[in-house]
Amino acid sequence: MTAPLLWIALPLGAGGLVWLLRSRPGLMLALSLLVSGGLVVTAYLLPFDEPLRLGPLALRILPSQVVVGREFILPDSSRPLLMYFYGLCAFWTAGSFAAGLRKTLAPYGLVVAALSTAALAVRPGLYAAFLIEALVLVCIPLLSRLGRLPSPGAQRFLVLGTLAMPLYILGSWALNQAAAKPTDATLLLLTGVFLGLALALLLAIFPLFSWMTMLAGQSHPYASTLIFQYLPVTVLLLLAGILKENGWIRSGVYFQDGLRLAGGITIILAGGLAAMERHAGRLTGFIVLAQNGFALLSFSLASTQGDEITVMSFLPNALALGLLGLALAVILQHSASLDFADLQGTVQRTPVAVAGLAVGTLSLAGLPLLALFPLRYILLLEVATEHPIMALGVILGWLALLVGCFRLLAVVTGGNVRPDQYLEPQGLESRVQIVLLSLAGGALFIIGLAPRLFLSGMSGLLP
Amino acid sequence: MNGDWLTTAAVIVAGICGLALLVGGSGRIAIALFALEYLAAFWLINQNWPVGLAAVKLISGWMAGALLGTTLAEEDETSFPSGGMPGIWFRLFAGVLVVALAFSVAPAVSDALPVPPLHMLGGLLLVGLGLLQLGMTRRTLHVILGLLSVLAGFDVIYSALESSVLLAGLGAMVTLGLAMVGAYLLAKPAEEGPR
Repeated sequence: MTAPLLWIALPLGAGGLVWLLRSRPGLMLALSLLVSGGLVVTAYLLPFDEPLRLGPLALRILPSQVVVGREFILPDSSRPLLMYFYGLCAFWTAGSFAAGLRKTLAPYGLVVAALSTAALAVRPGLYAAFLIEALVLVCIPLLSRLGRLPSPGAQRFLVLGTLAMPLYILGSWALNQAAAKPTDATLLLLTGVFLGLALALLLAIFPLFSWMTMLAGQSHPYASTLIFQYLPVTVLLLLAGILKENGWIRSGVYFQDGLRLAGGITIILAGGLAAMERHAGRLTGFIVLAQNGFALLSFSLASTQGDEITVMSFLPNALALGLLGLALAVILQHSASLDFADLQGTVQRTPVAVAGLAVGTLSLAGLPLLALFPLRYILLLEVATEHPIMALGVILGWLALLVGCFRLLAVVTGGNVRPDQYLEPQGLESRVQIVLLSLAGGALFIIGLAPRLFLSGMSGLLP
Repeated sequence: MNGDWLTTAAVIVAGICGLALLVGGSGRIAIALFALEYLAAFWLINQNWPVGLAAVKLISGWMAGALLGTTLAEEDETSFPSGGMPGIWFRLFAGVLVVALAFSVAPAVSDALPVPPLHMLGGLLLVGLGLLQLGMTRRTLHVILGLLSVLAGFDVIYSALESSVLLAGLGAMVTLGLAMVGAYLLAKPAEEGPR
């Protein structure tokens, strides 16, 4: 028994099986939760590469599996990562019924989690490009219904995600060559250009960010937030792995400046555009864009403290994004669209969803007392020490992001309500939706009040 | 000498097919041009890889074309490019600019990456014209063909850098995966037949 078999092959196979059960949504949900929950518990309880006795049986979970001459390695230190990925899978799957995706999301959650795990486990890392491309391809049926024209957002996601694959492969080739000859300026330039472009495409860094906002605005919010959760986290952890294996990159002349500039401009742009946005879905895209900008800013710090800040933000990000996706999905069930014009006075129809929307957006925007604020504060202190102008720009972008979120909340809680709207039914959420929204919101508050308790263990996600 | 002549011919065929794909035309013509493009890419890859490995690329490309062809709707088989004659001339002009760019950039890039100049030119033509196609159309079939053209160009360039059975196989899987996604996006809902 090997760890890759349990945490990659099994959920891939289970995802396929669940997909075949589309005519029985209840069974789909139960099976997905059973598999993902079981994988979380197994990762928590069972150590790798140690003999385990289960009565007369002796079991040993080996950390590596060879497939066609290449290895998938999941060491014992990767157990927090496995718990995180499959915990998120269970979290998103549990909300799929409430979000109105009862027949679609469950199999994709398992497959996306398995492919993300595989991309981080494969050696050499070059092959992660194919697994990420597989992730992009697998997500297309989730974003586009059979028999309908694909939305421009889904099409652009497919195009830009696919273009990242050859760039990543070329970048990995150049990196391997440069590792042998670190003084060759041409190889260093090629590495930076190819890998930088690949990561910029996958993380939607300025100016290649259009796929994220288009996808967020044109797809079901719960489905798009699943992709926004797994894809950037996988890519950021890949980047952390590359930096760990090739420590000489951090000391490169342009590395820190380049990452800082890319991250800072992305935050400023995302905040500025979010402040003027009039569609709640696209606003979500800009919020996620800002998260990626903050992550790059963290990686640009000279020490590895930045890497820890990034991974510590994963859990509150995931909870907030899930809450936001679910809240928007519930609101969408009772609104014509997510355009601000159709969201006016939504608080009457779906008050709990609006509360969840408030907590989710403001958490992601980093409002004080909510979960992400302490991490943003520490990051900005570090950046301001050596680059005060960049820190000022990031603060302005951050404030603009908050303005965008407050504009959304002003619309959903007020706006120009027509007289006939006062007669509309109120409190339209189901009990399941209320419970899920409340649980996610409560969890965010608790993490915000006691971040050390929950976030300190997240540094185990680093490779 | 014959090999050089054939390699040059393959580069010319790849460029002409890329330009013709830009012009548009019916789905059948586009897939035929795509198949010819992959034949040219196969010849270029075959200069660096064993014929068996290169054949994997060719077969996967043709299978992708066949898969896309079977899901073409009737209107896609006879539709003409949008924009009429001015649109065609504009796309051709843009394509010629990309060809000129590829000719001018290929020697410099060939110095940076250890790739023979003809192969670099062929790869850049496929990549450049594929990217132009992606930027100029929203029709699903042409988007998928554009993506596959870019990947073919990348394969031509990368084949000169490394030879790997696994990479060839995974590349073929990605090609077929893209074609399957394209077939999914092109599929129309089933119509109810007469009782």
